[in-house]
Amino acid sequence: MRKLLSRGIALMLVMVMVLALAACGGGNDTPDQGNQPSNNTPSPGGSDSTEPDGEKVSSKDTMIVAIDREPASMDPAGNTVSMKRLMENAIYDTLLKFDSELTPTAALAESWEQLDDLTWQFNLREGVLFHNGEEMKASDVVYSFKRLEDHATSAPNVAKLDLDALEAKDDYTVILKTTEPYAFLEALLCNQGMSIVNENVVSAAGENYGREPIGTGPFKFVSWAAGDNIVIERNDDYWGDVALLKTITFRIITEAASRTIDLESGGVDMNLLVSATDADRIDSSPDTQLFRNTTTNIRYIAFNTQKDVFKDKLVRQAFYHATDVDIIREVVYTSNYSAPAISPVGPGLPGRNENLEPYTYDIEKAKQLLADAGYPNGVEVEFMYLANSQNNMLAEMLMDMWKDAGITLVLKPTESATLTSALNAGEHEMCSAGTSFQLVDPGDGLYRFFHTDNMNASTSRSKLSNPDIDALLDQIIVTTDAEKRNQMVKDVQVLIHEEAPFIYLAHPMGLVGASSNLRGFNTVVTSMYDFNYVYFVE
Amino acid sequence: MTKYILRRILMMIPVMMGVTLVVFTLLYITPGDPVDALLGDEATPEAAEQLREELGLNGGYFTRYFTYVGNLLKGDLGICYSTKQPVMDRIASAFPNTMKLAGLSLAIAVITGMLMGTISAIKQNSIFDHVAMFFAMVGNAMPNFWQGLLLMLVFALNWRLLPASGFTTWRHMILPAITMGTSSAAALARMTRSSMLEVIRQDYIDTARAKGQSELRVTIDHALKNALIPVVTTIGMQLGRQLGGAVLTESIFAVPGLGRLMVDAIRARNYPVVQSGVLVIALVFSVVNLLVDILYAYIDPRIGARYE
Amino acid sequence: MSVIEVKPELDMSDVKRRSQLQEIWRRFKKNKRALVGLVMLVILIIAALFAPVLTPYDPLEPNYANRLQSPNGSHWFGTDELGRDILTRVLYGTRISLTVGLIAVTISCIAGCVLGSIAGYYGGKIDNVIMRFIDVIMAIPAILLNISIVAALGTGLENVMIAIGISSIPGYCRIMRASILSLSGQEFIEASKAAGAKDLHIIVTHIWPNSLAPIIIQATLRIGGAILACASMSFIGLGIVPPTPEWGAMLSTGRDFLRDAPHLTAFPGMAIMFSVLAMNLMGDGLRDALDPKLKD
Repeated sequence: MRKLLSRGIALMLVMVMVLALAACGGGNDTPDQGNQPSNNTPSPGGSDSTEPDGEKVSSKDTMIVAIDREPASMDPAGNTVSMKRLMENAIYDTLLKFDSELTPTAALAESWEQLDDLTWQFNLREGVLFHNGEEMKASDVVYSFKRLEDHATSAPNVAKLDLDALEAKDDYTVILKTTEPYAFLEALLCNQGMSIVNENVVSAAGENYGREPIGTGPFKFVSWAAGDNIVIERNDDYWGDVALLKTITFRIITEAASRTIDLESGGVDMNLLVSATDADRIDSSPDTQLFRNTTTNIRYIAFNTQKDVFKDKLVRQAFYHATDVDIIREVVYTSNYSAPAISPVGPGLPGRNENLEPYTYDIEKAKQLLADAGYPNGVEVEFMYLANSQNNMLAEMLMDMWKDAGITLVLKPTESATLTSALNAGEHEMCSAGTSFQLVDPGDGLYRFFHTDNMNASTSRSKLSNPDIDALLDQIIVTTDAEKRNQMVKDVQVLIHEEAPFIYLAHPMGLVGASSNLRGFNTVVTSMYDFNYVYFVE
Repeated sequence: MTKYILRRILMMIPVMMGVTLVVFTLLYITPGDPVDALLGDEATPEAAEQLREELGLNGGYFTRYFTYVGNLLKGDLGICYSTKQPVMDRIASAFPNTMKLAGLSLAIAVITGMLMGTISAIKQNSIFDHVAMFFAMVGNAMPNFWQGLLLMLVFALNWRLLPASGFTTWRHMILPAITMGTSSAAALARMTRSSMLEVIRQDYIDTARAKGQSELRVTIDHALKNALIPVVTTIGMQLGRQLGGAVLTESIFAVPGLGRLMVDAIRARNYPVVQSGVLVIALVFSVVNLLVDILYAYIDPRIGARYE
Repeated sequence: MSVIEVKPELDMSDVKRRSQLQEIWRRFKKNKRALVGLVMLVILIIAALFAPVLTPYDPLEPNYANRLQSPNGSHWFGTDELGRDILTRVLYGTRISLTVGLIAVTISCIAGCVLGSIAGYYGGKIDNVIMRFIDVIMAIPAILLNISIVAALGTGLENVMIAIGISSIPGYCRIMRASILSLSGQEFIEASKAAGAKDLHIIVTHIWPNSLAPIIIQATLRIGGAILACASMSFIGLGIVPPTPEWGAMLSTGRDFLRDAPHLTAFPGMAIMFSVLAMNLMGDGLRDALDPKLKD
């Protein structure tokens, strides 16, 4: 009897301990719902030791940044992974760069002009040095672009460039031709995939280039401990604003909970991928601060229009009406840290059509449309998606919502590589995805999503093929006048909206967490953050 | 004895071949193309075909398997699909980390487990016995990923005693090692206790006591040594568990080890890395088993005699 | 994974067998820890069988107004990220965990025993081939093998059970083989062979009943392992299809809310611990009760 009692007490002690452990982890802070977005605008090049608001600059000049996965290489011709592009942004430069209004401005190219419909001239900055001391010349630019054609991952980016005609007129002048009038050329040149590499270094390294990158950027590569971290340090000979920090270490921490705990316990100074569920706490904690920015990213459900069940646009519209997008956005993406999505074009982007008629949450209308399309008794659809907790929530919500309209949703959570292959092969009936506009401009983004020519590419999950939409998209690409183009972009959104190939769910914000003594960090829509102006205060 | 060792080493060869065959076959039938995983957003059918050619993925089952084995025998472990680095380098940098972690966690498990088990056996049915065995069983029952996160919360965040993740200093090793070690500690404690109990009752213990040796001497000299056999078996088996437990623990604590490398590689369909990585792990496991068997021979010469 | 070799007792008469069972039960009862395990197991079985009766809530129906509530009067375990009652989901989750445990163990037990019987009985080359195959499975860490098998077959409950089943085969195989090796020399086997009995008949009627004890112990102890393995697979995202309330999947989703809503992970986690503990206590108790050498 005594033994049973002592064992019972031990059991209770353990349970209490476990609960206490778990509970102490939960913050006592009440999240502040109406918080101001804490966007720090920097005072660049601040070499004074005291800031205007009385803060004393710290001597700390190293920063540790947590990222979620390791890039395969830092070759701009490689694939697009946002962390990879971010580091390439620090190490390399491009000919042009987006300013805060998302207009391409001078970077490595000091000035440029369009000579005719197909020809452009770029005048390079003189005296720009690569990290190995060699000077950047026009020949490097020509080499950087020409090699993109040979890599499967970068070839689509340069499809509109006439690379045979690309030439270095002299050491600091590049003549670039396009195959047809291309409205997005300047935007393309801002993309990290078009970074300028050193011809000698890359041709010597051959296939293996990318583990020891050499660029012209504000930071130079120092070391790479595979699977663990990448270290870069300040380029003191940078042609632009020399960075304030000396060293940045990027630590690879795949587990989201670990990244947040590391930020809050001071193990890292910045977490580039804060999840929406942690954002409130990071914002309100005195030890940390939250940066947020709107992005071009859109989360959506795509209907595969090539599959029988979704061939008819009435069916797609019915599904849309059966979906309560607001509650989905609130539960899955959190209302505070995402923007409502009424169109694939995100808020703040030029050409966004604010007046599209939303598909209201209307179960009766959904049932009616389904009946009109020939499914009076409902329909069964398979949902293939990447198995993670956010998508699971989305799937469960859809399953529950749609059964009211007679739609039976069969869930098929799939492992990452299997999913990508299945989606690329067009096997899905509907899927969930999130995509960003690589070139920022909606004209290019919408082309990648909805043009028939792009139907078999991975960005076109709905495989929509509509000749009217195609015609308009084709026109947009060759219209260089921005105002005319924006109007056409607005028009094509109306057509697309009518076709309902997607259900737009949300525009998630970019969320970055940092320790509270960090200053000088700017958020940008492209999420290609610069670290030049970052510094610490006491 | 040497003949036995040689025979065992020879038998490892077909087992290792078996491992490569099983892993290769599993990967072969797994849907999901590494090419799609590599191309990401830029996937077009033409790009995919081009990459497939480059990576040599167009051969049939036997062609690809024999190419792999052929290269393996030449010492070429292949090239990692994503980084284009030799697989050997990737594994060589990840392997020591996992070994250090597994070693430390096994040490923690052995020391705490055997200590708890021995004391429990000596003081059988006391409060200590019951509480210790209970904690041991709880440790065994707790999912290690949950345990890892809780430890991280308490020690890294609330008490700021230890770093949350990474693997640079010795202090980084503590939390992951404890996470991995506790479940094995439990198994060892129970095994030590029961085999000690069995041995303590044997007649020769009473003889030793009758001869007047101190209680401690009796314990160490006779009881422990004879109890060691099943315990050593358990240690050998727990190493297999450590290598497995490392997979989740390394992900949570951001340890750049072999376990995490394997999971990421399977996800990305990075075939060369998976095939060679699992082979390395299997090799280590087999070698450790062999060492355990040799250890038996030293502990108990009667077993050693059986090896001839 | 605990493997023990127990010398099976020879027993030919029914009367002796009946009183032997009583003896086993008596020894089991005396072991307080084992009784606790039995009680815990009964609790689990009741939860699994009577879940709909024990709770008024639906485990699958979202309730968006009630999300992430801490444990309170109407929701003893709180609510989850979609507003569902966690106590209800934990209770329904018992069905899944017990099913996975039982079926995975059954698969590995049957496959392992068959392989072990063949290996032990026929010996020679067949034995060698089978044991090398077992070595191969043992050399690959179980979780990696599980991940590979599920990646190959696809996510879902059935495939997870198959994967866990396959990776647990070695234990049973070795036990059965050891058991046969120690029995083969015995006289009654020789007698049966001499009388012309077929191999299969001998294996099934004489060898298997006498090897029951260590197999049962292994199976009981392994159910806990299967539950943990299933939870690990769900944690990685390769397990159960939602909205099934499986404990590991609940832990995995709850991990996003670890800091602000710890009850999402605490209760499924404790449920896992409770089940594994129950099976381990039972298994230990059975081992003590079935092994005549250990007198209390």
